[in-house]
Amino acid sequence: MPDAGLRIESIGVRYGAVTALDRVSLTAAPGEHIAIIGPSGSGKSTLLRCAAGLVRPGAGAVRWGDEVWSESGAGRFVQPERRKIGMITQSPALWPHLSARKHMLAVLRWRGVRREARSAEADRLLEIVGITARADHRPAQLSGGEAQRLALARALAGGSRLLLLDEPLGQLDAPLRRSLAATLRDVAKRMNAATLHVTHDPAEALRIADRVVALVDGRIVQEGAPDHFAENPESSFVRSALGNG
Amino acid sequence: MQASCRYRVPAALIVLTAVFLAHAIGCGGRDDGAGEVVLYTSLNEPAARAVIVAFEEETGVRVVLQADTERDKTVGLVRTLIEERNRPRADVFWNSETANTERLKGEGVLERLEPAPANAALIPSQFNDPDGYWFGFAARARVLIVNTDLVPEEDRPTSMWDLVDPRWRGKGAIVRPVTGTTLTHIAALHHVIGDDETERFLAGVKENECHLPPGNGRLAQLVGEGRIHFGFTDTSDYRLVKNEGRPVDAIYPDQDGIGALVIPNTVARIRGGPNPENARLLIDFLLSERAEEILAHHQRGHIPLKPGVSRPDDVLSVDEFVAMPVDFARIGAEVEQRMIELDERFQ
Amino acid sequence: MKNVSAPAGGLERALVGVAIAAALLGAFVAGVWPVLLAFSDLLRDPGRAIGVLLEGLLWRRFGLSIGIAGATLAIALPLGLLQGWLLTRADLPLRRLMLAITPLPLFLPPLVHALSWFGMLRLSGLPAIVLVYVISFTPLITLAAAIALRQVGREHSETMRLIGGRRLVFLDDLRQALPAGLIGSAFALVFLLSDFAVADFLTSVGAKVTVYADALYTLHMVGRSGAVAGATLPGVALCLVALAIALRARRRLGAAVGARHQAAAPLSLGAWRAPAFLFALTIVFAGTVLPFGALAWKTGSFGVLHEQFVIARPRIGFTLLAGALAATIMTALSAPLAALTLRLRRPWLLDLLIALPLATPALFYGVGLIRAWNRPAFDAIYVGVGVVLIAMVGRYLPITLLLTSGAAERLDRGAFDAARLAGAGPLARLWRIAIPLTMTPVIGAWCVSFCFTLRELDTLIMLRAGQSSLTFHLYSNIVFARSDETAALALILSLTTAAPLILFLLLFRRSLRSL
Repeated sequence: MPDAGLRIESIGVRYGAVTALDRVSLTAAPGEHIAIIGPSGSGKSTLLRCAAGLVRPGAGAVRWGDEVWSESGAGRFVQPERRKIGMITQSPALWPHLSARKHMLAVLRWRGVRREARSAEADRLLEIVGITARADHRPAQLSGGEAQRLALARALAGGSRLLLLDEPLGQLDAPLRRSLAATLRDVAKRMNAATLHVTHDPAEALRIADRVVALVDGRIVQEGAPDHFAENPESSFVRSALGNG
Repeated sequence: MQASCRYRVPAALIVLTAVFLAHAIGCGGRDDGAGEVVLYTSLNEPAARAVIVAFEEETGVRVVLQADTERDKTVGLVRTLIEERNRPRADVFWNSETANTERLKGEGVLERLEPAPANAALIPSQFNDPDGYWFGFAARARVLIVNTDLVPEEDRPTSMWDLVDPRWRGKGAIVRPVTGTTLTHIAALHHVIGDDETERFLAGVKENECHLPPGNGRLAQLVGEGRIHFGFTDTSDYRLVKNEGRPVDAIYPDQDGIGALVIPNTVARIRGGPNPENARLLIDFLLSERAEEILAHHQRGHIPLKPGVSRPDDVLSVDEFVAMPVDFARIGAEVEQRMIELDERFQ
Repeated sequence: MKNVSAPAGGLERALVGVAIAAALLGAFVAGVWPVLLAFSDLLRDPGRAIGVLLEGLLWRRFGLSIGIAGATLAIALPLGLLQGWLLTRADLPLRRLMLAITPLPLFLPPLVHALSWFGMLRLSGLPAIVLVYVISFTPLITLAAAIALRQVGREHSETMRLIGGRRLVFLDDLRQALPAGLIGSAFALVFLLSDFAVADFLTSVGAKVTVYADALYTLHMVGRSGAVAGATLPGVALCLVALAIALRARRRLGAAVGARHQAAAPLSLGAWRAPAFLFALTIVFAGTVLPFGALAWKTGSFGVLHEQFVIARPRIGFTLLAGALAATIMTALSAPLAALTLRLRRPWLLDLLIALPLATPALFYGVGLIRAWNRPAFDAIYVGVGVVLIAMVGRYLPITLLLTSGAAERLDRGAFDAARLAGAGPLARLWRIAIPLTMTPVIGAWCVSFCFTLRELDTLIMLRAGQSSLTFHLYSNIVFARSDETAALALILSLTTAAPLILFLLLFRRSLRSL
């Protein structure tokens, strides 16, 4: 039986004549935090959306352990809502008509958590991300940082096994970014969720990730542990991004 | 959104639907045993109502009414009857003039009534279809309505030719003659004064800058308001304006010549209608003295065609003025062609 | 390889598929099928159909109608855009109140406008025709522009102000409101092209104006169905093009739904404030205060109003319930159709099909309706209220679809995807996310659809149950002359239209405000 964890196998995505992803392969073990860096338009978000099931790759396969999430040749596809994954984007995409607690209750219900357990679990998640005091507020009443914390709690609710972070901290100021990045990493580790974390900030990637992947023009140009990555840049993008160029 | 609010919409809609369906079913379910008869009429509903109520009281038969509005010019109703020809829903057609009835006869929508209703025998034959498809009753006359403030008594027009007299340039009116009684009027003129004279009259109407209101009611109103000096209208429309207290008078035209055109209401049975027996009852009633009496005393003051029917003083009988001799069946057969010509002429 | 949604699977997906199929069937049965049956006369009598299209008279009248429509829209579009801008983006006093009463003229058929104060002032001729239409249809453009201008974001507006001052903000706002204004214009064109009563009435005195819709009526009277079908074609084609463009632009009709949005603050007009206020007040006065004031004056006393109310009461109940039910069916049908529209790469064909019955003259659509439903199997529907509901749904579904699918297209995809990833299936997404987030535009769509069903006359006149409608009753009493009863009935019709809308707003005030 294969190990649990995400396995992306040589996937490809094209938008008309444009190749967004070209035979990209990647694995992420439970609890592992992988940072993905790359210039704009390099396919980072598409890669995450393929893992989420929001984009269906035209080639290759996406698996979780022995589950086949998507396999182009066999025509297999698991709907996003059945993958048990969490995703946070730059815009937190919260539901404006629901309070923070109702966000959590809704997700827990959809994820099949028993009714009597939902309330306590919602409170626990809100406490983990530190917005217990704002539980009855709607998104419009939350600050940017609080909104992202709520998005994180929502992404983790119901036992997400894979966390997809698409530049979730891009719009926040530096001190808040740093503290939230640490929270993200800690919470994901505590829940043993594999994390794919797209970021524009190479320093942040090196600081929080277990592994860093560089994506350029839809292809992985370098992959490795943060230390090795910083010392041996293998492409002009990585060199310039890390300030070595 | 509050949870309680979320359920208000579906709850409100369910209640609404239930009430509506109960209402709709309730409306359709009333029947006291004598059955019903489906009447399509070109009259507007308030005008037809008085006669219908009397019929229902007398026979116990319920009348299901499909009426018309003045704006619609009977087009929707006639088109409905033609479209329903293969599966008729109406039993009786009561038309306020003759042309569309004759047209429906031509389209095969009507059924010959054999034997002819006994009441029809008392009505002058010129108002009945010689083929026995339709029968006339309660008529209106085509009169010149004059604003008495604007036109002194000595100057009053007395003839249709006054409309084309240059001294009345821009002061007279006739409804654009593509519908209703005005169309029948022009079609009748072709027979009574001949094609050439009718042509001269129509050319004169245009040349003399006659106004062309959309209906006889509107024309009468405009004369009443003093915006037009005089024009052709029906006695029924004149009477409405007169009763509003407007300074108007009606002149029966050409009393020393061709006379005034008298246009009857017409009634016919629909071929294959669902309630043929009740249809006959309703037709008999419409042709009765009682119906003519009700219509004579109605605010529109229809002229009874039967002798001896009670009527208000200001409603003349057909014997009290010179009426134009016309063959309505013949006019009706030509009316479509006339309409096309007149539509082009008065574009 | 392409970026598309995943194929359906599971019970929920099957249910969604069934809902879409049912909505398509509903739209076809109520709308498209009758129109196709009416147009079958083209095949039965092609000679007359072609013959009428070769007649100069028809095209002259068509040209005249287009001229009237063009003149109307040339005035109504700038007026409506400006009014919409002033009432949403400028710091005018009473702007909310003025915006709130802007829709009122839409509750009255154009002929009633012509009957009210126009009759008193004795206005007539072509300029008066155009003026009646301008008054009748400007609110449609004003409202569409006002909805679109809510989309203007604070940051965007402030940036524009810094670059080019108030002038640039104004021009940029107009650019954003124009598509919505054109949508309003498209619907105005459709209603205007099918109306003949205003032109007929307002040229009672002086030179006669005979428009395209009148020509179609005459052809119906002459009874050559092939000719009617042929003559109907140019109008249907023009209206279809206009409606298709409007439906394509639906995304531009409002703000993104569910996304975080900070509306721009009203712009200070400075020295322009007083004249702008006067301008806005004049438009509201001419469109709303004057006609309703004239109707009230003409009614004369409360006694007349009460008397007419008592007479009309059964019809008021019928009209309200039939209109509400039809609007509800339309809203329900439009939700799956909106979902289908989102999935189609080229939804224009679906748009055109659904727009077809509204583009078709009402009387002609009524002919198709009789052909479709006057059958033994449909007895209960044809002689009852069923066919009335079908007629209303068939005719006005495009309007509901425009508003609901526009909202669906503007729905924040992020919020929707987040629900999907959180484990929500199609029904949960619909019930918990899509419906609450689009509640305001959907309620708006319901209200607008309801208003239009109440104005329907030409189709209902051909249907027995349609005679129970209040609009029919109003027209039964109009003998092309004013009277206190007619004025009272027109007021009752307006109140009947407004009452459920006010009730709805009061009921859902809190939830509407929070969205």
